[in-house]
Amino acid sequence: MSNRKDVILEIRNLTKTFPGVIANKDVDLDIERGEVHTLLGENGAGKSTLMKAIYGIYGMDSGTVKYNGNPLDAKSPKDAIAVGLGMIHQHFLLVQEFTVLENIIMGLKADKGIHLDLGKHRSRVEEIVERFEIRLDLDEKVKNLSVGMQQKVEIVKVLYRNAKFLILDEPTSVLTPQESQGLFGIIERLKKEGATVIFISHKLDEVLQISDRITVLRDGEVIETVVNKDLRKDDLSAMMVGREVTLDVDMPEVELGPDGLELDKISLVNPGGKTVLKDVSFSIRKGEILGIAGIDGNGQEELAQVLWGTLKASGGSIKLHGSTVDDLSTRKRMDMGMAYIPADRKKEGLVGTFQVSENIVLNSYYKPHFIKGLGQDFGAIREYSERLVQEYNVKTPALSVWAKNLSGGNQQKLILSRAIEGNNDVFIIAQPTWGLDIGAIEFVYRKISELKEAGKTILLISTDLEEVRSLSDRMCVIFEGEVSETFRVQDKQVAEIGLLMAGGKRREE
Amino acid sequence: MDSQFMIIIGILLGSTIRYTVPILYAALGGLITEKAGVLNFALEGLMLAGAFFAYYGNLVTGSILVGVLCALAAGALTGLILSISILKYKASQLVMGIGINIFYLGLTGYFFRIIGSSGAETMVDDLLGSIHIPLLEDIPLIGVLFEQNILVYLLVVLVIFTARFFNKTTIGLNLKAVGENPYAAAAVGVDVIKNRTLAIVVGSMLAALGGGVMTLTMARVFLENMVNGRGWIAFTAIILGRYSSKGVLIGCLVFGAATALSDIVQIVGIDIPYQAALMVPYIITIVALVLSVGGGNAPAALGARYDRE
Repeated sequence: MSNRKDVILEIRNLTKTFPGVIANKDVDLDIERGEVHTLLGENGAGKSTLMKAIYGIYGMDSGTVKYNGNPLDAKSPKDAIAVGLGMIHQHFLLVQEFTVLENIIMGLKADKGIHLDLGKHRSRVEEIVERFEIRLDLDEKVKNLSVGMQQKVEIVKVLYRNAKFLILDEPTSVLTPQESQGLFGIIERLKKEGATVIFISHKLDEVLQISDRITVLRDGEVIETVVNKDLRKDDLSAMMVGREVTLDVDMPEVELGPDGLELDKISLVNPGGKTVLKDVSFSIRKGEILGIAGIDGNGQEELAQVLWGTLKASGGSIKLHGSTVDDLSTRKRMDMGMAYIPADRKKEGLVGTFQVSENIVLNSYYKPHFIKGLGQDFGAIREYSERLVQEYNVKTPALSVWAKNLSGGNQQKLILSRAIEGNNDVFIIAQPTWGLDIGAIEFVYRKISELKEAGKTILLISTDLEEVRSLSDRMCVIFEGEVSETFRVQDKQVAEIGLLMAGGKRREE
Repeated sequence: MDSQFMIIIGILLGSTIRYTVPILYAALGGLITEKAGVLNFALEGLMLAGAFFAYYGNLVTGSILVGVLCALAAGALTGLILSISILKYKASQLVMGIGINIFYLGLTGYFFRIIGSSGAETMVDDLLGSIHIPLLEDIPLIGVLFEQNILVYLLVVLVIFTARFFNKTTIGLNLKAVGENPYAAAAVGVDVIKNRTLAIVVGSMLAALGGGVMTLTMARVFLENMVNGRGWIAFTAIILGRYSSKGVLIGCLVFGAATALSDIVQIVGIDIPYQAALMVPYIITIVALVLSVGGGNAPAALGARYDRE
């Protein structure tokens, strides 16, 4: 090994397989002390798996890992933590009912005996919090904290275990733009204190902002490690996908028609008595895309369901093509041309243990052309499914395969195909690219732009602000069940929108 | 009049304790199990097993200590079976619990018939004696609280210990973390399976001891299905007590007092049908369950299956 550089983590020939899948293949990687090193790759490229293998969550099939020059073979996270690694997972691993302090100290042994010395822990935690300039109320219950704050708890948790080497797995996927910047501030601070940071992400902007070096992974293999200097986004995405791609969609100019969908003061109170939606009003014209941005869990799902008729609004009124549909069933709304692409494609979009063809006609099996006598016309269903699978490039071994066995991208293509082919003209599209790789995202964006070109009315609900901004004509932000005024996408800065996503006021430094 | 009133109060207090102790043992055991995130539906069966094996151990050896140990062993063994099936083989917590209940209802009834079911020779020789605490036992009205047997005093210690365990120890905090979010606990190096196994085994031992108390200190005999729903009342007391040791203590005392009161009603001869009086604890159970819906304080991962990543 040429040891001019100070390598803190050295990975050689690491291979990790799951039944039927090679997650990582012969990975070689050197991480230098004190750097912020990004692992960049699409979903399923093997970046999280690689880190989880090292961290002792999965274990590896073959290969060697050295940390600080010593072999590291973590059988469980405990071993990794013991030598100074700390991983912050994409989904936080916190106990909601515990206080911040309890979350930070749980799992630790007492200095002596079994007595829990909260006072002693508190002063030590306060020391760390001060050193890294992280503002936290140690006595607040975690369930009362914003997502950004919860992430800080996770960071302090690993720092308290003397982590010198932090692995952040897609840390910004749940944050507002402001919270992301706050996180980057903490990362800078960690670097200054001599910590090494591995940052896992697929968001190119932030990768370019925060990294010293970037390693691109594709299909479980390391493609290249580059120094973050004079890099362009396009270079990185081409490395990620293996070909030139562009997500900068050119939206067609379309002559707008009359209102296709109008909401007037829609509100919803859930069975627990909590107001989930409050006076939501907007209208979308034919040929227009209205985007709703916002952090997950602010009423997006409920809004989509109220529009789709699976939840009944507590107040307000919905008009489709100018006529009120409040009391109409989902089926009736479908017959009036409404289509829904749900955020949770596994739960709401598909019946996992139905065949591909059965899922394709899930929204149309009852229509006359699929009926023969008292039963279904399976010939017609097969023909129709074959055509859609081909036209929408749904990769499936056979029409009889269970839908749950398709990849996320192919599942989404299936759902899109049946919604579009159903001759619909009002589309409620929620989280259309969640968990998809860039190739599939490109496809989805193209289809949405085609729908707009065909003069359809489109409501786009997404937690990906960039997606909303690049696809929509107008947009608004949903926060705790209330939507902001709608505005033209080019009229507001990202920072301004970020503030709306956080409830209009700056909740954190 | 005054002395009669005092006597009634004395009886009431005494029998409240008698009725409370078995279900409090079981509820405390259930609480420990449930704090670790595992529902304990088997309390009824565990009590029954404890009641029988304590009785049998005592019958064969004449030793109360052996009786107690037999109950604990039955609880530990059953707890181990529960742990392995639920944690290793991912069996349903509900189905396993119910299975244990039905199993012991049949098994203890069958064994009891084998060893012969009638006559004084099948009675426990001596009930566990009382330990009188000097001076305190002479206090009017509540003196009766201080002339209890050792298993009652042990229970008081256990209640205090459990409360301290959950709130003041590192291992208690870890156990609670396992019940609230096992994945979070595992991520900081807490062994979820080990913690849950321990909780189930210790909890099951306590529940079985609760049954043992019935035969060793109260009934002197074993009767088929003698637990008669007390395990379920213990289960309810945990919910009613909002998953804290103190709450469970109060919950069990409420049931104990209600049962004692229904006795008094019959003794004193208040003119209501005795069946109505007997219903009181069960009515409280139902009301408590209805009222506690939605509230709770239950561990967040209670009843959920844990799959290692």
